Amino acid sequence: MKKTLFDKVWDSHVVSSVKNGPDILYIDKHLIHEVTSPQAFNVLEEKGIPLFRPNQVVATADHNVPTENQHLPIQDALSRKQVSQLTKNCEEYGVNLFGLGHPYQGIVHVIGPELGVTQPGMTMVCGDSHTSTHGAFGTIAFGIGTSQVAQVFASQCVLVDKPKSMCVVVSGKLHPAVEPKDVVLYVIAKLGTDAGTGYFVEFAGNVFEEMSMEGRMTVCNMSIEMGARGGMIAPDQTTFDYVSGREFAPKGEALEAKIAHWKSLPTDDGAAFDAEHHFDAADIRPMITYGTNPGMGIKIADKIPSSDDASFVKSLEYMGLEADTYLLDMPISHVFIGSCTNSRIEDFRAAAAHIKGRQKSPDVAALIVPGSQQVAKQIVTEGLDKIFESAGFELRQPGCSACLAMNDDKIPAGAYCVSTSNRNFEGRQGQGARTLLASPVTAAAAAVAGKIVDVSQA
Amino acid sequence: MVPLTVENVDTDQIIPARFLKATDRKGFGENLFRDWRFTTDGQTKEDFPLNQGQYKGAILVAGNNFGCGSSREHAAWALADYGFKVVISSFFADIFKGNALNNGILPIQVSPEDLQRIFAAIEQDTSVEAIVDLENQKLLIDAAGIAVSFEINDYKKMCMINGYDDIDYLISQKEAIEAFEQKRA
Ligand code: SF4
Repeated sequence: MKKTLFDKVWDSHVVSSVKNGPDILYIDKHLIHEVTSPQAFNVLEEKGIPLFRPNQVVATADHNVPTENQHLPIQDALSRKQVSQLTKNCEEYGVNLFGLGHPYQGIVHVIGPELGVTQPGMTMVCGDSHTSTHGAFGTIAFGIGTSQVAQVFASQCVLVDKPKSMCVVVSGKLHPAVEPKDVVLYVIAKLGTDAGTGYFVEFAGNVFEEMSMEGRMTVCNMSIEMGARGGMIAPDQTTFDYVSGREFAPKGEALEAKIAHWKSLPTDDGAAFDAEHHFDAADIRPMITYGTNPGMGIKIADKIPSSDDASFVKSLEYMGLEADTYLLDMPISHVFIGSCTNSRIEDFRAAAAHIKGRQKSPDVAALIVPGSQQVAKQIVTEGLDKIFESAGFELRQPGCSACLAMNDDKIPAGAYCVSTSNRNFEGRQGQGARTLLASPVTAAAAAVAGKIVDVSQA
Repeated sequence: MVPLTVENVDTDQIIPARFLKATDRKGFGENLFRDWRFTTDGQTKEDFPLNQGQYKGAILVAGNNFGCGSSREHAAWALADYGFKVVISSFFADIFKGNALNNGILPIQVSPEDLQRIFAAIEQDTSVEAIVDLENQKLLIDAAGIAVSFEINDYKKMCMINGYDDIDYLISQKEAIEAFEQKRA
């Protein structure tokens, strides 16, 4: 039978199926962080059971950590407690922790791939919806709730109904100013935020084949924003080259054997999906969102649409925007370049290429937050820090930061922030904050101009 | 029943991130829909349904695509802690649905037309009652002329009715899981 990439990986991980119920899916790698794991460790404690496979768990502290003075004790008492609880739990249960101060610390979805923990054909879970990021490697990776984190601790498995499969094909030639973030914002704007619910999405077509691994991660990261459990891209030479030589990746003959297996994973010709969508790459332009869900996106040169739907009206009201008007040239006061969507070295290279030789607008506060300690180090090695700092951008230490505003990095109420993160929900970046999602280049350009610009028209 | 007609209610609204610093699962109900219930300086927003005394009961009726966004189970804990046992909507986000079921909250999906009918019935009479029959998978709201079946898989239904937990089931499968690991090695 002809199988999809998703079917191949899923089927090879099913331990058994409950009659008229879910599958028992075996999990190869379990990533954890400080916010969604403490209650799961409590379950182990209450039940008096061990962590079944500690070697398959990798931990870091990211959601709640400060992005300044990371060498000092965390100021906020609750955050400090959460982070120290993680350290204690990892020690007690023998989990490998890349905590604050560790050279591998960073956002969980940035460090997994960067360390070679993430590999094609695996199943991965984490108590975080953007676990979908790892799908860029041809991995089945999805977010789970804390009860399920406890289940994986106890059994290295989850009970899940097998999702349906969807294929999103983008083919043709992209405009040179279009970034991977624009591609995924375009797809979500076209399909809506619930189109993927119940599905696992495979992204296919020459646009994704030609993308770097980092671009593919940006795309898969946001697959959850169209409601999908996760996104995947078939592993190819680009994938194998990225994985080879990374700290926790297989080496030598073991790697060769793995690669031979990984080459068998792509979807068979003629395999059927439950749903398919096709888009023409040439139609895509730099994108930005105007509303309070990631599906409310437009080409920067286009007008905000109009609708009398109550939720739409409420959303524009929150954003302080009007239907049938342009976002182009609208002044903004904040820029955030970071988050697991866009905080890898290529993102900062792209931003720096635009910023070089320019100055940030005096009316904008611009924050640059690398995704990991290793990315932070690379920024310095390549001299990008000089470009950012001399242009007036503030370069911080790694963490989730203003993506969800759990720490001190908050956008003030009413302020407009062009952000490279993945969610523009009400209050996501701080109570009353107004988020406009865009690519790192568009964000950098907005910081320089002090207003929204269309880099494809430069 | 408490009506919340807004669509695409995301988990950041159900429980904002700044309340996720706890290391246990108690007390989240207090901050359920925090920024919709209260202003930044802590004043109660009178027009929010949860703040309007006429709406009572353990059933939340919500607009399409409820629970999208983050995987935080804190959203389900907050709803459960506040006292909700059932959420009715025309569409639920996947992860939320799983989290709800794992915390004794039953998500009931109805057609968009039925959802509008329920909203209208509540508007007519704020004390309208609903009968949820989990055993037979039936939702009955006489006042709205609603008598529909809802979906839930047999396994989950059995768990809810008996108060079983997935974790106990998985632990009971340890031998099969170990055999699976052996086979793959
Ligand atoms: S950067 Fe944002 S989206 Fe990514 S894991 Fe952190 S909080 Fe979640």
